[in-house]
Amino acid sequence: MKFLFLLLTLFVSLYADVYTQKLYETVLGSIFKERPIVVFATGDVKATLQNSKMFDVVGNCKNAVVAVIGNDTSLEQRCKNIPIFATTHRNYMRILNAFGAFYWRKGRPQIHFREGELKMFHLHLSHDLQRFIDE
Amino acid sequence: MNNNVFFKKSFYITYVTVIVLIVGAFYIFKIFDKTSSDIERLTLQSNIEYINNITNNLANLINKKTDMQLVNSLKISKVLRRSLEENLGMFRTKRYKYIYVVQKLPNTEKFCFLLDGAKKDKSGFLEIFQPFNIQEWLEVYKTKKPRYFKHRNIKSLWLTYLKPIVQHNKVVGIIAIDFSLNEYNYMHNTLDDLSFSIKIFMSLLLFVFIVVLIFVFIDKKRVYLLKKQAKEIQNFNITLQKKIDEEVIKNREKDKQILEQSRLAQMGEMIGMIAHQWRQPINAISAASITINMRAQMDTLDPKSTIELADKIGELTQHLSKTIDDFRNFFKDTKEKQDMTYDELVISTLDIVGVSVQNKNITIITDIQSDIVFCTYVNELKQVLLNLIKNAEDVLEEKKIKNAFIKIEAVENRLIVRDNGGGIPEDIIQKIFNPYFSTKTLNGTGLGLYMSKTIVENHCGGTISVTNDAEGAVFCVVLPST
Repeated sequence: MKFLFLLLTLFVSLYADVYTQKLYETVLGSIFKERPIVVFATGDVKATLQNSKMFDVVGNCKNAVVAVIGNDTSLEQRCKNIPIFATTHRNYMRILNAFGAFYWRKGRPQIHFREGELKMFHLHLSHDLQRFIDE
Repeated sequence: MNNNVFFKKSFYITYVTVIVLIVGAFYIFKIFDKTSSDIERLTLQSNIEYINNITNNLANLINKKTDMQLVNSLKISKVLRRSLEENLGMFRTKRYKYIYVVQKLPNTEKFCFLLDGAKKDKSGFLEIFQPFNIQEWLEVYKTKKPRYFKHRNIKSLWLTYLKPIVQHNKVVGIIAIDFSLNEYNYMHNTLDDLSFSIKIFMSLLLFVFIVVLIFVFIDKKRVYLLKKQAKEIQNFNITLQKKIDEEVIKNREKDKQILEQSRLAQMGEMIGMIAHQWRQPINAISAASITINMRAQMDTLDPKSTIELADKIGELTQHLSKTIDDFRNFFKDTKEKQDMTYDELVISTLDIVGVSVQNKNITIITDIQSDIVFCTYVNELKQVLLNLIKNAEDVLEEKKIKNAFIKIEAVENRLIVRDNGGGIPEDIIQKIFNPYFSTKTLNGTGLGLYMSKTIVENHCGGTISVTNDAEGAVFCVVLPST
């Protein structure tokens, strides 16, 4: 029984990773049209994106079209020329060129976009995602 | 009960029992499902009641501390926010994962956090919040009544309870409490364990029952076969007993016939003996008659000699009559036992056969040293002794033995008849009591010794045996002492 429970937990964990990966594919895939999307990522999200065929994860911001940044604030300055997608609410609020964010709050996924930054980087959201634009 | 009935009965019993077990199992599972859902319902109900009380108090506290100006008060006073968040945090347990207060943003379906009871990963004041099941949240604003709903697509949450904070008859915020899924999982896992155990138990029960049923079936079959065999043996015994009874009756009939044959044979011999016995007296009667006739013709018949001759004829006639009585008594079929000694037996037998034997120059020697009185069938024993004497006579005559003798001895309960005829060959001595076994070349029926053995052993309860001594055969009859 314990084994069954462990297996279930493992499955749910795997499912959560897949969910996150799928969400990144949906969100970033609808905004950036080139394939693969060259992305600079740090932290846990790097591994998640590396598992997806849609993304080409690179080691610096120079070649990337988008940066997905978690808690590492030191990257902020180096990536100020490309759009940044935050993975925490704190970074989303703090980083000026963050056009959007995805993070979990109270067990619920939270997606946010800033209209100004989207315009600044000439990014277009699909109709489905427009309801997540902060007003 | 035949095979078919037995197997049909067993099949029906098995069939009905399995059906009953299956129905029973379904019934148990149904009861378990109902109990399980009852437990779930009651747990939910109890949780809701409890959380309703908590949120009522929290709402009252918030209203009191914010002076019925929730948003403004919280915007102004960070201290108040912290104080209220501490109050919210006091109720946060493993069961109640998140406790927070949100407010709906105007003209959107988004909310913003006002208060958060969490210590880690705390949401910021006025941080935008996009809940799932948005309609449920909006409904609270509309109805001003608390609501709860279960989650299907949030992995760590089981249920969310929403309590409106009403100020000035208007919903100004919602106290939201998210129930951890762990509590629900714990309950469900326990019920699953129980269900699993019941299933295993029922399966084992069914398995054990089937195994027991198979063994009972095999045992019943074995018992049935044993019973069948026992009945067959019983029937066989009954048939066998019938056959034995029939054979016994047949043997008795056969013995009777043999006895009759033996008697007829003896009668033939007896007629010869009577002839021997009668010859002398008849000759004497004839001589007396001739004497009377001659004297009458010669006119010398005086009264005295006439009376003497007449008396002699009378005596001889009496002797003839006695002889006839002896023979008649010998053949009389007495059914009752009589007292007898060996001395009486020998004398009465020799009265019949003695003359005949002596006429053949065979000496009869008697040595009776027994005065035991036997209660037995006298005439039948006479036949036995007669047989033994006649057999000895035949052998002695056939072998033309010189100085032939037959010795009759009686010592205590033993009667011994021996002769000097040379004895019985050893290769046939064991067969001489068999029926129809005879060594005589003429007039041998082979029944004499067989009948003698039957009379002594079956009728009189004694034994008869034969051995050879230096001179001839020795027959020994032993009668039980009364």
